[in-house]
Amino acid sequence: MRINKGMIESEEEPLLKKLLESGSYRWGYSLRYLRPRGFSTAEVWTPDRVETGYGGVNPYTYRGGDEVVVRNPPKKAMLIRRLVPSLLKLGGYDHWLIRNYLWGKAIDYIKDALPNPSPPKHKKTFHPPIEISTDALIVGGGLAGLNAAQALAEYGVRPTIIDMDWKIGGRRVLYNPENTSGLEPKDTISRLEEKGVKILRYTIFQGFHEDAVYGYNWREDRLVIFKYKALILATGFYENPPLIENIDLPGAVSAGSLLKILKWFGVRNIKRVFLFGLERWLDPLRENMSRLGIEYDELSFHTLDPKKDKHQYRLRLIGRERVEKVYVSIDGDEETIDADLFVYAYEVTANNWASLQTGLTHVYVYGLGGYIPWHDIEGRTERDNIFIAGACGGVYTEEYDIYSGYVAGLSAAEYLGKDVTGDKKKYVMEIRRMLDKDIEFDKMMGSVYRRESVIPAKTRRFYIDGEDVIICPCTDVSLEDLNHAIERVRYVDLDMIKRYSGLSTGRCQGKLCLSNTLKYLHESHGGVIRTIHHRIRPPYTPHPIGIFKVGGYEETQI
Amino acid sequence: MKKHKYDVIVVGGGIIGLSIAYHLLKKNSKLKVAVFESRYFGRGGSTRNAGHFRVHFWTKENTVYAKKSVEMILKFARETGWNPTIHRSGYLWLIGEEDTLEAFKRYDREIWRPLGVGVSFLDIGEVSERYRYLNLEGFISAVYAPQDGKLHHDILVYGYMDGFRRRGGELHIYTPVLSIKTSGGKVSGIDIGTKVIEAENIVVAAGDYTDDLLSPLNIDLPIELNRKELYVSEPYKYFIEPLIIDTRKDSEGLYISQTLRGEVMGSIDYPEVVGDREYNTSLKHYTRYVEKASRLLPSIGGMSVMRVWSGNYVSTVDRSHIIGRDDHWPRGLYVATGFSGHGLMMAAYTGYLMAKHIIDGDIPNDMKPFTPSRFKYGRLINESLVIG
Repeated sequence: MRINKGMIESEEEPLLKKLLESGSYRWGYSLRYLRPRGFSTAEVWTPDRVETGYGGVNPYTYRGGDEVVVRNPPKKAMLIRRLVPSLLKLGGYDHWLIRNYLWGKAIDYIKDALPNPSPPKHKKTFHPPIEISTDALIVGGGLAGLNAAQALAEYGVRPTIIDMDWKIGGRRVLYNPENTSGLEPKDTISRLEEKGVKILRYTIFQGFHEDAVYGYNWREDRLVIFKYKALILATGFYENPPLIENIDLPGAVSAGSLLKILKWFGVRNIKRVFLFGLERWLDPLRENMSRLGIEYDELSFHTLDPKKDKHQYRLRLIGRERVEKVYVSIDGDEETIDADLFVYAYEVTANNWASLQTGLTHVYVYGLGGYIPWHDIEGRTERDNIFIAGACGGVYTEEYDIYSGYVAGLSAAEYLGKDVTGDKKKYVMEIRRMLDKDIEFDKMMGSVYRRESVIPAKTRRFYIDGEDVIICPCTDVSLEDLNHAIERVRYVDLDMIKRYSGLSTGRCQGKLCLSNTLKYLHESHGGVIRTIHHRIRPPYTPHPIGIFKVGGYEETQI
Repeated sequence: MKKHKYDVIVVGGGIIGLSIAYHLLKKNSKLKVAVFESRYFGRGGSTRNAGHFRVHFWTKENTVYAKKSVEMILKFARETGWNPTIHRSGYLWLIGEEDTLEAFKRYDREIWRPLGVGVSFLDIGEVSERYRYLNLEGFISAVYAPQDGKLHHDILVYGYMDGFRRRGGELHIYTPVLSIKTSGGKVSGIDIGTKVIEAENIVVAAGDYTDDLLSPLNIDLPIELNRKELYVSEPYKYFIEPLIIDTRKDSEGLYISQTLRGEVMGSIDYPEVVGDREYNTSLKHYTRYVEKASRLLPSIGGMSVMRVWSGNYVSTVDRSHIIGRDDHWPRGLYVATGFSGHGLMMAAYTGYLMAKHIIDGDIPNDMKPFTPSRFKYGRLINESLVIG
């Protein structure tokens, strides 16, 4: 089968490709297959995670692909499962038998039951960190980020752009179906570099601390510490996984990830793809699929009868170790379709993983299904030195990203003591013009600007019901568990539910589950959480703690 | 609207406030009690802590207090139906200096052993046999306290919350109390912005916010905020059983532990006092922690850090809590704050004592040393063992 057509020749050897080819990339299994979960809300773990993999492979967008090895559950845990099933269920620790008599015994089981990896024994050395002082740090090298840099550069400020990919341009530019080559916007980049803008590729925004921000260069395995005067967040969006059964099976990927895989790695061993989602996101996918000659089935929301308020639809992914089939049922019509890859082009949510670390107030935007850091039309936030660039969710046109990025750059320049009044006025007018033209968008962004949530009186249920739906794959919390937590705590409060269920305290720190959880709470328990002060804690992705220490560590005996 | 008058209003829905409220209703189910919390239950130190408990303190007063409190916590699961997953995994103090060892020996002899909570002294060979993952260079001895351990702090908070509600108590979240109203030398109620809610007695258990509420009444409590940052790793196979504390003077109060979930976590003292209601973290202290922690536990360098968060110690000058009331205060006003990082382990007994104190009127013996009057008369408690 010839499907590597979409691959482009790149000077850089992509990490993911390397991993896929070496066959060493493994995806962790979800513990619900063994079901030991509970207070410890067993973690999804890959016991032999690839050393360098955490930087390049973003497990939250790239989930699956091919050559995925799923380990068998440890035998001991299976035994535990038979012995004390109630122990290992959420809430099972509160079972009277366990609580009153068996807890002492249960502790020993738990210690062994969780399939965590052994602590590292090997010697590992790290490169010394680099410290960079910059006037303005721009997180994200997409349209908004580049335009913010442009604005700053025009006023004589030399910002630094960091981007986690090895190419600058972001999804709008790189994954655009018209950009068949997938190349960087070279002219723009060289023009910016001439003006003194520093561009760092391969650099992930890792942590926001009060005294500095630090990033991680995954190519050099090195820490980069930034001291900045102004921080501009232009982090864009990501696709929110739909709440359907077995969505955490390997082989379920988001549309953006698929486009990335198709463009940069090609896809092997994929025969049939199932596309699920919204029309505007499906379009580029279809085009790419046909170009590569891959067969696909699709379920688009647009094919559903718009007059009908609530369709009874149910989706389930079927497969033992990865996606093999997709079960679809729409208003009673059932069908099971073969598929190697399940792609959700479902809804986009603001990528607020960086802004959530800063402790800014976030406003719920229903149309987005997510939380956006509160900011005004000029990109200013509650903190004087933090600015938001772009639609912060990729929800609108490229034009908006360009203008709002530019205006955020101007606001930052103003903060740094430049006089930008005339220019700013002009571009803010442009944004207002856009808002006036589009009522829907005005309602959405306007709510962010005014710092109030807009929640439609009648909410439409987009999630697909089913108790066995995993909402937080890291800690293996299902909808059933979420409901159990609400019942137990008796408050629909994110922080309390989180603390009881362990939700969002796993490896990804709530990146996957947070917006889905909030969405679910909204839709099933009424619009109760309008603004959140929730704080995701650094780092962005787990990294070896020793990276802060130069010179590495000696081998030790555990 | 019907006019409410509460017997007791508890300001602050942390573990202390909830425990007091719970014990009030447990003692007298006819009371009308309400808890007012400005955010969600357990927002402060109650959920932002390392989840450990110990009975060993430098002073008799605190040791007695903690011992009784831990005894109550052990019965907690049976009583409330919430299992706080207590694991008595012990504390291990690693000792590098002779004078520290002498001090531990003295306290064991004079305080701990008479109270039935004696510790054992391990020689360094024994320690290296038991805890092979530690780098024991520079240590001369270790103190092992098997009575201490870890628990799930959130469960304790929710258990009290749930027990209080089941007994008919009223809970109010996201309701900040703006001020305490007094009239005629007596508390009259609380102002929540929209209205004043009347009450006979008011217990302020609002952590460091206690000071904000009491200073308009010209009551000054010597409490300060002391931030601590915690570094939590990804889960690994369970291998660190006790909470390990490095007592060497240049280790700056480092401790490392592992949760039942497998996360290796640890923290370090700050050289300066930083109070922070936003729970920020700082890179500066992060690097300090890494340096000290990798000296004690060399393999930690290869472990992945999953999150860094911070919490506050609400500390008093003598590192001991303030509970009860002063005779010069308006009648019906009580406080329970300043637990200096020990609130979790002391909450149970605090609730019991405060309930007894409020309902019966007399001051229980174990409570006497901790009343607010001690600052006025200079009867401070010399407590310096604040780790964990």
